[in-house]
Order: sequence, then C-alpha cells, then structure tokens
Amino acid sequence: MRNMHPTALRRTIFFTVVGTLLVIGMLIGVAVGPVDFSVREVIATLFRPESGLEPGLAHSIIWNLRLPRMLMGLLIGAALATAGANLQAVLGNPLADAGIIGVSSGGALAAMVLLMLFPALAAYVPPAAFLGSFVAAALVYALAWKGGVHPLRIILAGVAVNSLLGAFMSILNVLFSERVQMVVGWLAGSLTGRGWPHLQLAGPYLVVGLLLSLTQARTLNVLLLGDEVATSLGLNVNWARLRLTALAALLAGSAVSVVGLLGFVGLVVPHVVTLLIGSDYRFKLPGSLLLGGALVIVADTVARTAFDPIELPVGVLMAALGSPFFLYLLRKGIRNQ
Amino acid sequence: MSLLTTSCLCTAYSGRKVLDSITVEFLQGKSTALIGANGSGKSTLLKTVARLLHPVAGHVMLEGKRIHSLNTRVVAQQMSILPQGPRSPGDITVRELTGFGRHPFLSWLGRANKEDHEIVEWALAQTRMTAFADRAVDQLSGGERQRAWIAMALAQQPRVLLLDEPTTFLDICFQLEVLELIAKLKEELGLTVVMAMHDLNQAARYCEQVVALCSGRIAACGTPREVVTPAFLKAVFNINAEVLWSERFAAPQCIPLHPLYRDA
Repeated sequence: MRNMHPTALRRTIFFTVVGTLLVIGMLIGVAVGPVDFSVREVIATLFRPESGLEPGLAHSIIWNLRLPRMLMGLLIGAALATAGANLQAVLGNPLADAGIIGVSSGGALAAMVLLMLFPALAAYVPPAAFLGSFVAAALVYALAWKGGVHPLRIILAGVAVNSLLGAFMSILNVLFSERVQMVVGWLAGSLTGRGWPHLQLAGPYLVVGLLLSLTQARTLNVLLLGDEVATSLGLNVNWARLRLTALAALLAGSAVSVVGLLGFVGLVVPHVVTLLIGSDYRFKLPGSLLLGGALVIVADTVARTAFDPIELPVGVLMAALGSPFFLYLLRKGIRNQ
Repeated sequence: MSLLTTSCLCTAYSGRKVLDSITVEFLQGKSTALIGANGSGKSTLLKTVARLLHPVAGHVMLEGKRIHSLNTRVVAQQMSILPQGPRSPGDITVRELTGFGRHPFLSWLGRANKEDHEIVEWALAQTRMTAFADRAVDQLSGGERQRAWIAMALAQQPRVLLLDEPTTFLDICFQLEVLELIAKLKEELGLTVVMAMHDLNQAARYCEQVVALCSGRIAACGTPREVVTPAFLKAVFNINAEVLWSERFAAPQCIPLHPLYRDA
C-alpha cells in the first residue's frame, strides 16, 4: 500500500487556494473600476445576457473593456510564469527568466524604434515586438551554439545580447529624449487599453504555447537530473533545450508584444510555487500558470483602481508589492530547511 | 556477437587527445573495472562508451551497432549510466526517482502503465529500497541515496550498467554495500557491468576483468590476477607495492608501500 506523497496535502491546499483566488480575482477584476458593479451583476451580464444589465454603457464596459483586459492579464501572467519555470530548468539556473534569452530586450527595442521613430505606426507595436523578441532569442541561441548548447553559454550570450540591445535603447533615449514619454508605460509593463484586438493577436499563440508547455513536464523533470543522467534516460538533451527554449520564447515574446516589460512574474512566481509545493514540474507548471495568471489579474485590478483616476503600470505595482512578499517566503523557506 | 566493444576509440577535449586508440571488449555478464591514475582517461572512456562524449575517431559498438549513431532512446532501453555524484531535486521521493528509469519506454504524452509501476516496485525491491520508497531523496544517507540511483538505473531494465566511481563520497561500509549490491545484480540479472574505479583492491575483488589506462592508452587488460602485479603497480601507479593472494576473494590484494619518485 502506498503512503500519501509527502507534499500531497500541500498541493491540494495550494491548488484549491490559488484556484479560488483566481476565480474571485477574475470576478472582482471585472466588477471594480471607475464604475463599480456588483459581482452578481457581472455574472448575470457574462453568463445570462438576457437577464443581466441592459445593453448599453454598463454592458459595454464589462464586455468590451474589462473582460478582455482581464483575460489578457490572465494569459500574460500564465505565460510569463510558465516560461520562467521552463527556463529555470532548461538553463539549470534559478535566476533565469525570459529576460535572460533576450526576449524582453529584443521586444523592447523593436517597440521603442517604432514608438519613437515611426509614431504613426504605433498600432504595429505588438507584431514588431513579437518579431524583435524572436530575433533576439534566435541571436542568443546562434551565439551559444557550439556543437550543442551549454546552459552557461546561453546565459553568457544572453547577457551580451541584452547589453548590446540595451545600448541601442539608451542611444534612442538620448537622441529622442522628448519622445521618451511615449514608451514609459510600455517599458514599465502595462495593460492599459488592452482589449479584444490584442487578445485576438496574441491569444492564440499564448494558448497554444501554454498547452504545449504543460506536455513538457516530464522532460523538464528529467533535465533536472543533469545532462548525463538525462542522456542515460534517452533524452536528446540538445534537442530538448532547443524545443523548450523556443517554447519559452513563444510565450514570453507573445506576452511582451502586448504588455511590454513585465519582469517580476517570470522570475518569482516559479520560485514561490517551488517553495510552496516542491520542484516536480507535473505540479510546478500548472501551479505557476495559475498563480501567474491570478497574480497579474489581482495586481492589474489594484493598479488601475488604487490611485483612481491615475493608472499605475501593473509591472511597477507587482515589483513593489511582490518583492517583499517573495523575500518573506525565501526567509521562511530557508528557515524550514 | 559481443555485446559491448570499442574499436580504435579516440576522444579529445578541445584538440587535446585524452583517449588514444582504445580497443577493448567488455565481457558479457561480467564486471569490468576501469582503473588508472588521475587523468589516465578512465572516466573519459566510460563517458565515451556511455555516448555522453563523442569520439573523434573509432567507435563504440553495442550489439554490433555504432552506439553514437543509434537513437538515444533505443540505447537507453539497453544501457544505463550512473555518473559520479548525480544530483536531483531534494524533495522528490525515492519512488519518483526510480520512476524516471521508465522514461525511455514512455511515449511523448504517455503515462506510466501498470507494468511500468510493477517494474519500479521490482527495482525498489532489488535494491532494498521499498521501505524508503516514499521518503524524499534529501532525507537519505549517502549509501541509501546511491542505492536509490541504482534503483532508477535498474528500472530501465538495462543489459549494460555503466558506473563512474560509484563509491566516491561514501563511507567504507556504504562502499561495500553498494559494491555487493552491484555484484548481486550482475549475478542474478546477468548484467554487463563497467565501472570506473579508484580502489584497486575493490576492483580486483569485485570485477572479473580489469582494464588499466595510462595516459589515454590501455596499459593492461585481463583478469585481476594477470593485471595486478608489483611490476604493473610500479609502471602504472608509480608505487612500490606488495601483492598478496586472497583465497577468500580469489583475487589479488595489494598493500601499497611507498611512492616512487622518478626524478631526472
């Protein structure tokens, strides 16, 4: 007879709490704002249109503004956290997230070029940022390739490419300092004004990327045993790294293209999940996905209502509130060991 | 046909040749010890045979097929490698670790079926880890942890087991425990075992074949009785030693006396 897994209870509690938090966060996220609705009104409007609020302003606020923005936040938080969890195993480095493979700076530079040099084309920022993310990730990979990819080479190539792209960004900032204002919100990571068009553009990539990621849990677990054991177990380590990094680039690139630079989630959520329910990716991946989504939804709701009518960029708020919490968990985790 | 052989195998690290034309047959169903001084190439030979390193010339043959051109999953279904000081997340259980041994048999989305679970339980029983199965890996002693890794390797149901210094970092009691376990598995399951080893007496006692390396070449190959002699110890390990015959182990045992200094 098998005993219960040592962390089975913690997993059950974790998924129950995060799942509940997510649902409540989604409802409240749609309900509150400059015009407040009750949760009952929201549910009625979303699921029973015939008995909900009259079609009109309220209906339009829920359906056309808050719902897509909330869904966008959900997908982006899920994508960044999943990509971070993935890369931490693939690169064997607890400090890895999508930033390290150039995705963030590639996307940011592309967006800045468009916003500062060709403001008329501002509508094309998402596809351009997506392209920039991918080009940067491919560049990092090409530089790191030498008969195979060693994690440390990826990280060092990533640092180099990030510095290079950062230099270009600084040059743009200096030369076009009067236009810096246009990109501040984007660079800080913001969901302001994101709606159905953005969701249609990036949503499919995010959903496909997330579903594919969930199938990779066993491969990630095997990678955690080190390259030699992974090879012994029949894993083609180079191909697995390539595939998983591409998946992380797809997720993070799609997220960056819509929301800009949203750092905190990808780095910290996977660590929080590990501290709470352990390092098994069969649970860590869905755990990161849910917690990342819940975190961005809650943070975005606070960001747009706390200083009403001024909206804070959600990335700023998350870093400000999340970092102390993360440090608390870290201290607690270390004490327990 | 021989199960596992190498022919004219050469391996290099960034241009520097570490293995020079190694041709050897590993006896089927027996244990082979790879011995040699630090930097002699024994670990490199093991890793090249294990396809963790690519040779610059020559090849490793598994049942007559070149191992470096075979599908890595197909190799994993026949051969298991335990590197030196393997690492795992500390919070996975022994059963989960052992379960990874079934990885080469599972398809992309496939889940472990009843047979896989039975094989995992069998591997745990073989290594006497059943009682520890639900324990986290970081709660095990050094010897138990090594047995857990051997359980993982066994769950692959391999015909060949390669081990890189399986007793390093272990107390003498755990060293014997691990070597006895490997000897038992070899006898009962007919495994072909190849181990890189540091301790000559353990190599002579537990292995039927000894391959001694010196500067990347084979210095001697044969039974322990043939290989472990005072002259050999002088030439390969640079020591003066007395070699006694142990009736109990039916193997030579050496008593190192002092190092030789080859000045000028």
